Amino acid sequence: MVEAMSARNARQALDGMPHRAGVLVVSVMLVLVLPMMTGGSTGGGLRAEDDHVVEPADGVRRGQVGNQVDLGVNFDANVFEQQGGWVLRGGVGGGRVRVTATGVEQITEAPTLERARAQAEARLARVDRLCGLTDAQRRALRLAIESDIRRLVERIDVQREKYLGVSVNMADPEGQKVWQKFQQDVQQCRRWLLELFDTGSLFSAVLGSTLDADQTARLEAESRARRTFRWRTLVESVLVKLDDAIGLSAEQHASLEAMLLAHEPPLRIEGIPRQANAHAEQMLVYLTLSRVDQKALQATVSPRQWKTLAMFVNQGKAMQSWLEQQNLLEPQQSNR
Amino acid sequence: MAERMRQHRRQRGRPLVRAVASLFGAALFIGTVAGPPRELAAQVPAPVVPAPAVELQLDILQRALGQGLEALFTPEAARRKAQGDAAAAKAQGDAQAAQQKQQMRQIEQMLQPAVRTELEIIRQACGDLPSAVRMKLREAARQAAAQVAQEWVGRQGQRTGGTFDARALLHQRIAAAVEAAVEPEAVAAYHRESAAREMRREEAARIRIVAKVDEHLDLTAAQREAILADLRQRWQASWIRELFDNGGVVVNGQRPAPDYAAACITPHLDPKQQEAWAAWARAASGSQVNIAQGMRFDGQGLQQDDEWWKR
Repeated sequence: MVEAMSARNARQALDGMPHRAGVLVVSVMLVLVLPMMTGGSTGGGLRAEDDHVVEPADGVRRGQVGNQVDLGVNFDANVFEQQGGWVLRGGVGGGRVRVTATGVEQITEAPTLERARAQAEARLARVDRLCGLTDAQRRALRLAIESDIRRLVERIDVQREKYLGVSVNMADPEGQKVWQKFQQDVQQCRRWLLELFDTGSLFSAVLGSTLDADQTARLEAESRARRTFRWRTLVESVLVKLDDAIGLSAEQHASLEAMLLAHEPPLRIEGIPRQANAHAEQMLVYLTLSRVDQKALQATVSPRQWKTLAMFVNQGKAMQSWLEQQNLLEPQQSNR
Repeated sequence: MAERMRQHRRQRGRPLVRAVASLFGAALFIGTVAGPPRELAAQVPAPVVPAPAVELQLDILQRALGQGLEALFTPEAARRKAQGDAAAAKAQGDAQAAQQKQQMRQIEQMLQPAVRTELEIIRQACGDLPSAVRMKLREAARQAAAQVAQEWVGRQGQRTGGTFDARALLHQRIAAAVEAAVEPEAVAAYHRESAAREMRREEAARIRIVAKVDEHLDLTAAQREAILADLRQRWQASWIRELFDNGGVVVNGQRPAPDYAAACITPHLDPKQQEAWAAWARAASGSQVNIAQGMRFDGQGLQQDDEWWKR
């Protein structure tokens, strides 16, 4: 504070002074002020009388806390926050606490998954729009949705319980092992979230048994059309980039487009992340190009273009295992 | 020569010596006038100096200080300062120019894959070209890359807004060279390809608009086709911006709604979708975000030179 005032006074004093005289004055003042700023030999630093300095207590210095990770507190953040849009209310690490007579305790209730219900309602609405559900069918499907959500919550709770109060030291190999197991469990929970109403869910089972043949046919046709349109979007988008990169003629573009559309992968159409993953989509198209007849593919482009195209195709192939983790494809297919 | 240098050194040192000497003299005066430090004042009796003598000493002090400062600001010193400033400014300008030149070379290098792609497009569309024409076009492509690199560097650090599409600029310049150097039939073929490429880009942008709406509002197949048809019918060039939305832009937690094309979308939505659309457009209006703004160049292109152009 004192130094700040000195500097301000010095600046005011300098206003209107010729440049070189100003430099002289500042130099002299620096000589006087610098020892005060650095605290001289006492090591006191920049402190005024009214400064309130809080020194960390022994044993809780930042460096030591930095290696310790509380897995229970981090569990929900790891599972939900990276899922894109899943809303977490309450739960361990969710921030909600209960104030009691003896202090503050964290609420360990199961998290409410708003997104799960919203997603289910959207899916139900689409089915209803396409198939014209009866009240009984709608009721049965809603019950199935609730059961699936409860089952998910219970499964995640079981995983979370394992880490309540568990703190690991990341500098310790044993701590790192526990952290790896924790990450595997987190991944598992994320998969459950993603596949909440997929094959194997009660919703899927009830849908299959409650719809009549006509309704099922309409639903399947719509799903197929949606998947095809999604694939077409990826193909056209990536072909624009490819066009920029290797300069396709209209004929070449048409050939590549036909090859790619004929090799439609089992794209996920439900519960896809709202945020586009352009890089993953591009790699998926290149991976698909690696699965078409390579001789025909090579014959489509010039030798100059092929050098670059082959490089892209290889990039796609190399990304296969990574792509399987990006949730672009239906789970059964991606696990193949 | 040695004598001149000595004289020069003497002249250069003189104002500073005078200034220091004057200030030193002033300090001596301060010592005699002001007397001992405050803590000793109680012990040491103050010197008895008559009032007119004090005034005289102060006057001498004032003059000495004035001379000291004056010595620092002689016309000669000012001239040397100006010379020094000019030299520093020139050195700074030279360094900047060298840096810009270096940047231009780097960008020109970075543009080479795109230049090769442009040449490939010409080769594919125009077929066999005479050697002289090939040389002309190759040189035109080289110049185009240099010009675009120069514009690129010129734009850096400027808040000019708008879009800088390096690939489009390259294409424009090279296309002009094709028009000037190539036979009319070949030029027509080249333009046909360029037009087809532009149409493909537009169709891709339309499909992306529909896909985005579909992801948000769960359209039926019939709705998707109806919106796509409407977009084709009332297409506007600026809507190509949808090609540049790679998911990186998020407004209020959502991707920008393509509300600039609302007239082609909303008539095909059911009442519930209309509501959801209105909320989406309110929260994340795509009209308010120019996704295409800024420098646009992904660096992709053909990796190796085509020897055909050198023959």
